[in-house]
Amino acid sequence: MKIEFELNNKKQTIQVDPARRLLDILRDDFGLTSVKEGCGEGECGACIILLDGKAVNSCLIPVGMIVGRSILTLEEFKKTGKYELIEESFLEAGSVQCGFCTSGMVMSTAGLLRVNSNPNEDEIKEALAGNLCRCTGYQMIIEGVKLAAEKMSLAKSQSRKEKNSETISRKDAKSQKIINTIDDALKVLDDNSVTIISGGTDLMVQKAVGTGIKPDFKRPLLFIGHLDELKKIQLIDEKIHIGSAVTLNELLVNENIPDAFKKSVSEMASFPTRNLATIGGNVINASPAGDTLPFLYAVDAKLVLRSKQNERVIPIEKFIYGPGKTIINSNELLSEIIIPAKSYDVNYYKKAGSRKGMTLSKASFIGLANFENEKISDVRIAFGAVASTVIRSRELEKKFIGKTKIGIESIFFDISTKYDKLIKPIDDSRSSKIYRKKVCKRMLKEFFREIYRREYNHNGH
Amino acid sequence: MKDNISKAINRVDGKGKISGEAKYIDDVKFKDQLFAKTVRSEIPKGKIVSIKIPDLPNNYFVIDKNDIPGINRMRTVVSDHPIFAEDEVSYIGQPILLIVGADREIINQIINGIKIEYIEEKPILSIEEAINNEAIFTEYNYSKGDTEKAFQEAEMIIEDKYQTGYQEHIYIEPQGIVAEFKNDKVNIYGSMQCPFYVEGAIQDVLGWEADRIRVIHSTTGGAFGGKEEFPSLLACQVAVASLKTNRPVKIIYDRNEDIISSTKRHPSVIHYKVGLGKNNKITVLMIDVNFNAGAFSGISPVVLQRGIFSATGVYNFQNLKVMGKNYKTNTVPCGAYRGFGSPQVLFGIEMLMINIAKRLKIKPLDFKKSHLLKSGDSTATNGTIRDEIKLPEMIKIAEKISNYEKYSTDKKKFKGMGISLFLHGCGFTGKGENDIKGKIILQKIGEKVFINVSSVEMGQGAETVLRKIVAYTLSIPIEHVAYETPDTSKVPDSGPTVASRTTMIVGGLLRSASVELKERWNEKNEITVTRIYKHPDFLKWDDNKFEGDAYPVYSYGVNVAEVEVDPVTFEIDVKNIYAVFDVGTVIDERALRGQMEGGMLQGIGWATTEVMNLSKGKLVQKNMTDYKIPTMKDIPKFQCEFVKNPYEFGPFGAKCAGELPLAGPPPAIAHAVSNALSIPIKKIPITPEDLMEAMKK
Repeated sequence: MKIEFELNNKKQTIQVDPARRLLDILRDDFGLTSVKEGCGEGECGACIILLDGKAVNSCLIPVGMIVGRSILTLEEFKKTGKYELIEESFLEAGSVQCGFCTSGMVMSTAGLLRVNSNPNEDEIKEALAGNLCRCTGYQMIIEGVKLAAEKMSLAKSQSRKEKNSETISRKDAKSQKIINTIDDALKVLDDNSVTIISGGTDLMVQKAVGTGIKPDFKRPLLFIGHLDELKKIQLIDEKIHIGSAVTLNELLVNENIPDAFKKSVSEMASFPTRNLATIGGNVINASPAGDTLPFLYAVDAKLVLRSKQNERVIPIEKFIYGPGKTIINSNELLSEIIIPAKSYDVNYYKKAGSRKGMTLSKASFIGLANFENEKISDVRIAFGAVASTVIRSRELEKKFIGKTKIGIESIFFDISTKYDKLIKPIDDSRSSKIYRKKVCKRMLKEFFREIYRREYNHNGH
Repeated sequence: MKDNISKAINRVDGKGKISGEAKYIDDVKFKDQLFAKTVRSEIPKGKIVSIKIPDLPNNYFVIDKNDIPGINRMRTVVSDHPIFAEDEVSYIGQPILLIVGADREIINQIINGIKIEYIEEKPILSIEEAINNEAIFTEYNYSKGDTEKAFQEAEMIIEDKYQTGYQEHIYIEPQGIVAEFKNDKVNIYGSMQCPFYVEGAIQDVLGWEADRIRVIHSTTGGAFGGKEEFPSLLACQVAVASLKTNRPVKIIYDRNEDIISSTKRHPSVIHYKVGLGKNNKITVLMIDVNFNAGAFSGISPVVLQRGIFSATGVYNFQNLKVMGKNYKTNTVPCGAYRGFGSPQVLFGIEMLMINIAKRLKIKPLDFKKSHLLKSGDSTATNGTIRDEIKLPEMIKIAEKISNYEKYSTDKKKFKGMGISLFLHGCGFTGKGENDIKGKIILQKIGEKVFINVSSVEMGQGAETVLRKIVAYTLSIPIEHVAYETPDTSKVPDSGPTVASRTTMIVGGLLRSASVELKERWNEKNEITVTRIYKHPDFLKWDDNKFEGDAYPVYSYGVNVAEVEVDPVTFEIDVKNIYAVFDVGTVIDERALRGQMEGGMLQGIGWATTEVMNLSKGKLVQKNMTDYKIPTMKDIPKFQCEFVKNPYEFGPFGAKCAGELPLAGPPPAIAHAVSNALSIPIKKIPITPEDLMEAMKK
């Protein structure tokens, strides 16, 4: 496949297998060795570059995805005035030891400071938690980033001119021979057996073979992540229509997305991976530990599946029927996820992982509740990562209806015992069956406490 | 340079690393290079019956045991690890052969087509199974006083057991080496701590003299002990491959391969038997240290030595018996990891002291204080503590900055605080420094001074600190001091970059050479000053009896940890670490703070999230998704203080530093968690799974 893109402010056209990792292309074909490989699975951040100005893991990107897009690596960024300030700051703060993670750290810092010139400590941690460092203990990196931000705002106030400003341009993808509309994509799907790539972050890990080796995709790739039609979030008739190619970070900054959903999305992966990963990808993956799923189950999300001939709307719990198993047909595309535009009086989300940044769920829980006249009118409960699919029981949720916040105490034992029977976790590399069972019970109990703690809101909702 | 030596300067290697210009081994393309990939054992123990390899395309090669001209063993303390497996395999991941060629895609296809037939044998997969089978590599013991009599006279006897888990280094740069056979010599480039270890190992494997082998250090992206002995294995493999193919051969591990096959920190089980006399004092102690060494002994004997010599921590016990065993199991071999056997025993002794104090209903810190070593005391091995021990002062500082006395454990919110006291013996254990006789050469050519040492920069700051020692002594700008990449054909063997010895031992030699150079500064010609290390005369060590000064001097630390345990999930959140260290004189405040904070975070990881288990001899956590080192979101607030306590024989008074901090957080965190939840902690990592189980009562 011929691919045209912008690399370090220069237009490039290469003939390449679109499945190859961008990381390998940058290192092996272009000799851009500031881009490092530390893990090849989006965990360490040593390969972070800017894609259209955003920090992303280049090991998770099949090169076919970058058609018409703009890539910036440290080789070019280091020519800028901003870089000089970062360099000074990292030196002064002692942010560097072995240096292997450093170019990734610098690029994540560049990505952060482009959009936030004065980040606080939490914002720095959020932006850089996808960059692992084993030497420093991170505190001196945080101090380096803070110092760089200070120096930049000082430089700005003194209107110091940049030697060379990074340009972020989104080239016109239409000039390229790739699909540009959903209809194009559906046509391809109808005629061919392909693997659809939206964000690619899960598939690239699943199919990874090793450094310098093309990921093991059996079928040609169909890239849909760039389709504008799939990147919209629209509020229509009290419903939120989320395009399947909306990235996790795009969800987090959209005002229509309910806070309860944002809470679960914000704890997924790392910032740079969330710049790539899409909601549609997480749904289609149908992993028992998929962290968008408990919320989507809880609010009865509906999925729009389109094919060249047809369009059908399926409730999410009918869509997924096992780990990695969905009812989608090979000529269909998940185009939208529809959720009600509804807020809840009680929003409780809890994820058991093993660290705060970048952790897959051992178990996760979402509990939502609404009240009318001081009585519970609606309850939604979903458990993730503790059975082959998300656990939700309408029957048990009904038992809450009409109870006061004090009244629910009497049903806890019964409810908890019944959920316990539905929860069928496994022992794996991340946790144990027993722990998962018990933590679910504690999460449920905490949800009861959250309901109890809630102040009545007499203004309705 | 005339400033106070402790005042921070910018790292000399900083710019190259921040700008991405620094070249690590995988960043260098060698002309006509071939790649090598390892084919490994898939079973923990058995005989190889047959290996079927698909037809190889032109210029693709199999490299195995038959290609080794010399000895098929990797030279280290015990040279027992085969470079390539012979007729049997002893652990999952053991290298059997390499496939070498130009295209990694094709290499991968060849490997997918290889079929190995084994006759499986019953493996030994844990310390417990090894005990039952008496599968022991090494057994040591030493004692002092009269333990038998002391136990008879004891008022109370307590027995206890503590355990620690594996730890994987997770240097962010995976292992990588290139061998280049050229003009009847072999050049080795790569990520490593000890160029002369690699040179020695290749001598054995090729059967060559050292003058045909040249080992050149590449920028090393973290090591932490993981690149002490292990790179020798890769280097021997690719040296043989380069000889056979007549091309440069590069081997770079993927992360997954690195985790499953590289050495790790020894898991430990430590038993204690304690006799208490009147006044709540320990009168006698018996310590039994058990390490899982894995399938080959390798460097494990010296790890065990440091383990048993550090086993009494910062305390003085009159009657003592210490035993240590390395067990042989059919699991991945363990090796050097920052601390080298001592973090395990320091966790054990600290928790023992805390748990005994709790049982006696006295404050753990008071109990610890009443047993502290002080200057003039004899060490566990009957050596002498000659320098001042500033622990009482350090404890006071730690208490003050952490508000330790006034901190009230909030058991409703699962909040707690804990304290640990620890030390690290500086430099090699026992007669190690005297055996290795580190040599340095300092040269003045024109206005420039050249440091010739084999100590490598691996992130710890050696390039900066060694230059600084020379520049400050000579009062010349640091830019006038050159420190070339260690290359065994050019530099003397100043010893490996291990054991926190670089600043104190190698830096000490450079300091002494610089003093001479300063006196001779105005001589007309080039000046060369050489130094060879010799222990100060007063140090006594009997290597047969394990008696005397196991280390010339010790560095010390006090950590206070504040934790919050999540009441729903039992995840541990380490909020604060307050740390006070005595490393003699600080050579560079910023570089040292980086060492301390980084080391402490490795300790935090080992104590909490870094879970690594075996299932049927196979590692369960084999990638960075499952083996979890702390991220930026997981760090506590670190506060580090240093007390000045110069060591007469260290440069500017410096002692050791790099390994010390790792040992502090695990017992401090375990103590804090134990206070927060009112349960005893006897095992790390402390997992939410274990806490959930412990809290069910």
